[in-house]
This record gives sequence, C-alpha cells and structure tokens, in this order.
Amino acid sequence: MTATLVQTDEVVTFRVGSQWFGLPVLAVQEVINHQSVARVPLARACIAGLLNLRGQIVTAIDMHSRLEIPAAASESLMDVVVCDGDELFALIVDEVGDVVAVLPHTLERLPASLDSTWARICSGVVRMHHGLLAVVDVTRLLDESSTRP
Amino acid sequence: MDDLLKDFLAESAENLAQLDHNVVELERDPSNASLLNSIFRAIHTIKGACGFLGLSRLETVSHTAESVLEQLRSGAVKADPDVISDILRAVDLIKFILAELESHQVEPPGDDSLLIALLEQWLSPVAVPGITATGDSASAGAEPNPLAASLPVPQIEQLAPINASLRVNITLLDSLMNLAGELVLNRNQLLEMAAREDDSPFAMPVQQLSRITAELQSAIMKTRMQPVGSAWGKLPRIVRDIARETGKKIELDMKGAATEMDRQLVQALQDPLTHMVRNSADHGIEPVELRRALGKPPVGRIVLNAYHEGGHVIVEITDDGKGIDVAEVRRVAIERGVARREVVDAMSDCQALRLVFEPGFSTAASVTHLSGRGVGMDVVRSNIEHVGGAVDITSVRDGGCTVRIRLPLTLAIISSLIVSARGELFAFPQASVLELIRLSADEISHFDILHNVRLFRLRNELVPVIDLANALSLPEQEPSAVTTLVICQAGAARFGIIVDEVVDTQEIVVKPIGRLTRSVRCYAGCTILGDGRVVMIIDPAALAMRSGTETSTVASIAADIPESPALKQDSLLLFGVGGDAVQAVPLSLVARLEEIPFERIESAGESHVVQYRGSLLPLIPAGPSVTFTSGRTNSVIVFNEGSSSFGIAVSDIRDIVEDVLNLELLAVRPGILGTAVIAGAATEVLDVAYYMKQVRGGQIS
Repeated sequence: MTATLVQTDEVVTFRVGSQWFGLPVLAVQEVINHQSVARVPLARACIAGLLNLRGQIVTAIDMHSRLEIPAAASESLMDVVVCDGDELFALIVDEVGDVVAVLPHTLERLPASLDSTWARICSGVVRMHHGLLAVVDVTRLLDESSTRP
Repeated sequence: MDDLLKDFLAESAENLAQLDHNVVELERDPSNASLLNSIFRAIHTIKGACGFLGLSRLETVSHTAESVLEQLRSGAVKADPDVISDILRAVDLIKFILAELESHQVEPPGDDSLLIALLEQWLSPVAVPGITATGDSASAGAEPNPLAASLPVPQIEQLAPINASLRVNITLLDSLMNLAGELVLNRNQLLEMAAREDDSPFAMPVQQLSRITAELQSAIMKTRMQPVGSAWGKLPRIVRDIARETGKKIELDMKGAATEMDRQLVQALQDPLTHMVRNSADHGIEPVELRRALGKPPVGRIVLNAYHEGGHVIVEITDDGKGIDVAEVRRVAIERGVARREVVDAMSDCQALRLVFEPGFSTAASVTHLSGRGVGMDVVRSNIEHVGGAVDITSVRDGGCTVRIRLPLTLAIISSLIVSARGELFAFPQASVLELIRLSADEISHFDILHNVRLFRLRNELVPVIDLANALSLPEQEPSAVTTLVICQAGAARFGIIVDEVVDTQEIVVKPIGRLTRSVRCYAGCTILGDGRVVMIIDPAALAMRSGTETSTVASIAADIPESPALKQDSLLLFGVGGDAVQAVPLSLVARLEEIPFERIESAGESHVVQYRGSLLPLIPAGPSVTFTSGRTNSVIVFNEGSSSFGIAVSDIRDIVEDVLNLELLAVRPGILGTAVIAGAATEVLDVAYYMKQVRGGQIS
C-alpha cells in the first residue's frame, strides 16, 4: 500500500535528531517501543536488522543512518511500523509525536537547496508552529536504489 | 474413483461454472476477444483431458464445439444468438456427461449425431442454406433451425455431490502457517513461565495448549501436502508415445504414488521427472532386438519409486536399459570443456558419472525430437537444488541407470544446525552439511594455503575453508574457546566453513527476508527461534560463491593433490545373499548385472547353467540361502575371466557405494575374503578368485 497525501491529509509525526518528519497515517501500521533487532551482516548501512513482530519478520531501518543525521546516544527509541508493497518495515526514530492534519494547500514544495538525500525522500514541507515538518514518501524512503550500500 | 478422473472433474466443474456466464456474456459483446479466448481455452482443456482419459463421447462434443469456437475466433462466423445457442447446447451436453461421470465413473451411452450435425453447420457456413456467414441473425433467429428443434435436451437429473474438497488460496494457507508459528512462540513463552513456578495452576492447561498447538501446526502443514503421484500423471502417456515412436517395448511401474510432500515441491519435481523418464525411455531402454541379443527381457522397465526416508522424500527413477557409458561421459566432458582432463582422469567412475549434471553437458548422441529439446540434466539438478534437494546418478553398463532425487518434506520447515560465530547465531540448512569437525587451536593456525585460499585436509581431499565471521565482516571479539568446521556440499563443490560452535539442531520455519536485505545473497532466509530471536539462515553455496571459492577453483585444487594410495576409494557393489546378510564386491571386477528368470536356468548335474550370449554361463549361488525357485527371477553378477565368464547368483542387488576397501577381519569361510566397514556397516567381501577356481575346476556345488 502506498499512501500519499492525495489520499489523506493526516500524518504521523516523528523526530529524528532535531528534525520532525511526517508520514501519511495510512502507511503506518503501528508504533511500538524499540525492539532488539537481529543484525544482518553485509546489509546496507541503514538496515539496523530484522525484528520479530508477532511472528512476522520486519526489516528495521535506522532512520539516523538513512537520513544521514548523526545518532544521539542513549535516547529511548521508538519503532514506527510501516507497510510498503506487502512488506513490513520498522523505522527506528527518536520520538513519535501527534497525528496532525495537513491541509493540501499548506503543503509547500521542497526548497531547491535541500540536500539530495532528503529531496529524494520527502514529498513536501509544512510550516508548523514549532518549525518545519518534512513529509516523507514511504515508497521512496524504502526504495532500494536510493539507499546507500 | 481414479485420481486422474477426480482431478479432471474438479477442474472441469470450475471451468464450467464460468463457461455458461462467459458464453452469455459473449452474446452481448461479440467482439470481446479475451472472452472468446477464455471460452475456447475452457473447452480446449476439457477436450485435451478427454483423449487422455478415454472419454470418446465427451471428446467428440468438445472437439466439435472447439472447432465452432475456432470459426468465431477467426471471424469466419459472427457470434450471433444462433451460434451462441448451439454452443450453449454443447456446453449443456458436456455438463450432462460430466455429471454422469461424477456419479457413475463412465460416460453415459447416447447418440450425439444431431448436436454434432448442428454444430458442424457452422464449420462450413456458406454451404448450408439458411445460415449466412455474416449472420443475418434476425431471419435465422425467427425461424428455428429444424435440426435444433429436433434435438433432445439432455436432462441432468441431479447434481451429484462434488467430492468433499475445496480449493483454497495458497496465501491463505501460508497465513495460517504463519499464525500457527506465532502460536508456537507464544506457547513456548507460556511453557517457560509455567515451568518457573511449582504447582502453577496453569501447568495443566498450558500442557494441553502445547499439545493442541503442535497438532494444529502439523494439521496445517498437512493442508499443503500433496501426493507425489500428482506429478506422475503425464508419465504413462509420455512413455507410451516414446515406445510407439521408437518401436520399443517399455513398461512403466510407479510405486509409492501416495507419498506426500509439500505441493510446491511436487510442482518443482514435475519437469525434472518428466525429463528423466523421457531420457530413460528414449536413450536408456534398448530396442527389442538388442535386448533379446543381450539376454534381457524384451520389455524394458522404468520404475518410479517414491518413499519417505529420514525426514526426506526419495524419488528414484530406475531403468534396466543400457546404462551410461562412463568413458563416453569422460570424453564428452573434456571435449565440451565441462572439466579439465586432469580433473576428469582423477575422478572415480561414480564421480565422473555426475558430470552429466554439469552445465554444458549432454550425452544424447543423436538428438531425437523426443529428447534433447527440453531441459538438460544441469537444469534438472539446479531445479532440484533450488528447492533444497539433491540428485545423484548411478549406472551399470548394460544393467541400467538409477537417478535418485532427495527432497525435503516441505520448503517451509527445514532441519538446521544453529551455530554461533562471534556471539551471533546463524542457521545452516542441514541438507547441505556433510559433517562437523572440531578443530584444535593448533589445526586452526596450520591450515595449508594455496592461491590465498585456506585449505583443510579432509582425509584424502583438500577442501577450501571460509571463516564465517570474516566472510560476514562480523565485529571483532575475543576468540572463542572452540572452533568447529562445518563441511558443506553445494553441487559438486565441497568446502568448510569455520564457526565457533554448534549450539543446537532444530526444525526451523523458513521465513523470507525483505527486499532490502535480499541483495546480500548470503542468506536463504531467516527464522524465529523459540525465544523469539530472529536468526539468519546461511546459504552455504552463495557464501562460497561470494568468498570466491567457486567450483572451478575447488575442483582444480582437488586435482592437484595426488590421492594417497592407502585411502583410494573404490566403487563397491553391495548385494544381498538371503536374509539381512549383505556382501560387497569391487565394481571394477564386475562385468555385468543380469536378471535371469528361473525358466532360463538349466540344470546340468548338480550345477546350474544359463544360455547367455551364445555360450553357457555357469551359475553359482553366493550362499546357501540363495536358491533357484520356479517363477522367480534371480539377480546374477557376471564376472569375466579371459574369454569365459561365470555368474554368481545373489538374492538382490542393493546399492553401489564409494568407500575405502580396507579388510579388517580375514575370512573364516571359503568364498569370503574378509570383512570391511563399508558405508558404515560391517560387510563381508566376496572372494571372486575362489569362485573362479571352482568354475575352472568344474566343481560347482
């Protein structure tokens, strides 16, 4: 299932480092406390490993590595479980915030100067009262060709 | 009811349900080509199966209907209500015959000439007055066709109960399987909790839950099981056709068709099996005259045998044809660049025979239209290995050839070794593990090195060694106290993988890994252990490939090492001599293996002889329990000595194994050289010289 803002105007917000991001709410299956993962040796850097979610294998993505944000030590991490193309992924993030409504007309285009990694992943930005919220496109986030080996 | 017929009826029932709807739909939308194609396919499928099942009435109707549909497809006839009505009449008749088949297992008698005539009008529309090719449907429809009016409408009395089975989407079964897996994990947690407390009130219910869970899991597994015979359905026809085509006489004997295995595996088996049976029939079995000349029964036999063995399904294809010429295999392998001459020369006959599975190899001297057009033996092997199986071949000159396929029961659950490396756990599929060797610290620091590849001397063979921790770039850690070498076999290549220790052996549920990790190509999947931990399953072949220890390197290194003469392996023929007793004889001494029926054995005094290739072949029983009884066929091992030969009658031929012939006990009775450990069992070795002397002395007892 690919959820974009065309279908919904609600996003689940999460924080990585000091930046807040939003994920279309329909793409999110659940949010869980961070679970221990089994490392997958030789997998690309952003793959934290595999975790067992009630018998299903979930590929855990280290969002710090994926978004090239330095990891801060000793934080209580959260896993945002998303579904993309019949497969489950857990995005390991620093904090999960509220579900916020995003009206289509408030979604702004990405600034042209944005870092290319972010530019490929994000579909737009929304100005919130505490700063900018970058809206993430799940399919592009999990696209194999755009993740670094 | 015949399984074939049952399957056919179940399949047809599905096709027919859709057929009515589609035909009516076509009337409304005559230009819909995909609709027309789907109707055509449905009728065609029914027709196709008819010939096979010998349903001539059904065949005629569906064939004629198909021809009419062909006219519609080509556009020669327009799909107007008249032709649609006629097609529906044919569909009704097909339904009627199928319903009768369902209840009586035979076609109902009846005359369909009217309907056939009606349908045939559409095949040459111009010639029949009243029906125009372009279809003036209004006028044709207004006046009912006289033929149609006189046609009796077949009455389907009642719908016989369809057999009590149901088609279920395989993804539903998969999800049931997953849920059962989850349940097992949950149960394990509960069991642990209950065990921690003495006198827990939950102890009993948890025990019960545990038992029910296990039963549920095995029941769900069974839903995916299919008899292996369902992959055999086409074989009798194929063999019959080849026999007709080539003028041979071939009998196909199928044993153990009810042996069950995962449906995915049954499917994976289908093509390789068809190919090998075709090979046996086309290249293996000799023409009748040649068989007669060789003293073989004129009718060649191909035997398919499936059975369970130690958590695996074994499928054997045996023929009593001419076997495979090992010298020819060697020659072709070198000629086609499958392997280097030195490598081929160093191989034993058994090993050389396996060259037929290498890519780029095909022994068919003449490619007939029957064989040599589909898959080669290399594809057979890769298909089998792809589903975690193994395939091997043995052959006796003029005695036939046996291909043995070993498959796991199911793809979803495999037996595995759980090993640790630098504190992390990994699973190895047991099917690819040959043996485990505990290494001392001294051995680890003294591996031989050749070409930057570490080598371990495993008996008389040098095997390349891969360090799992290095290959997977695991983080450095304190070296472990123990080191184990896992010897793996992938295809023809043999190699060792260094791990710390083997932690456990377990039946594990294989789970696919996600698309982002699949590209690593070292893993066959992952699994969840009882404690909920996720563990990667290593694919040893892929790991070896990645580490650069490919087959070619392995083979060339192996060939560089001269075999130590003391440990030279021999091909040994194992045979029964009555009861459980098994004896062995080096295959190199054996000229041929024969099956000789009692009727051909003649008595001369107290000795027995058989007319064999124009001369008399003396027969000596290998032991007192081997007797010549009326109506039975005796297995005879034929030995040559100069120009004369003699045969030793045994109760049955068991196997051909590769082993070191090392006599450990000397003989206590005549006819036996001594006892050796062969294939793990103490086995008596036949003294061929003793029998030879007896024959020469004419004192055959």
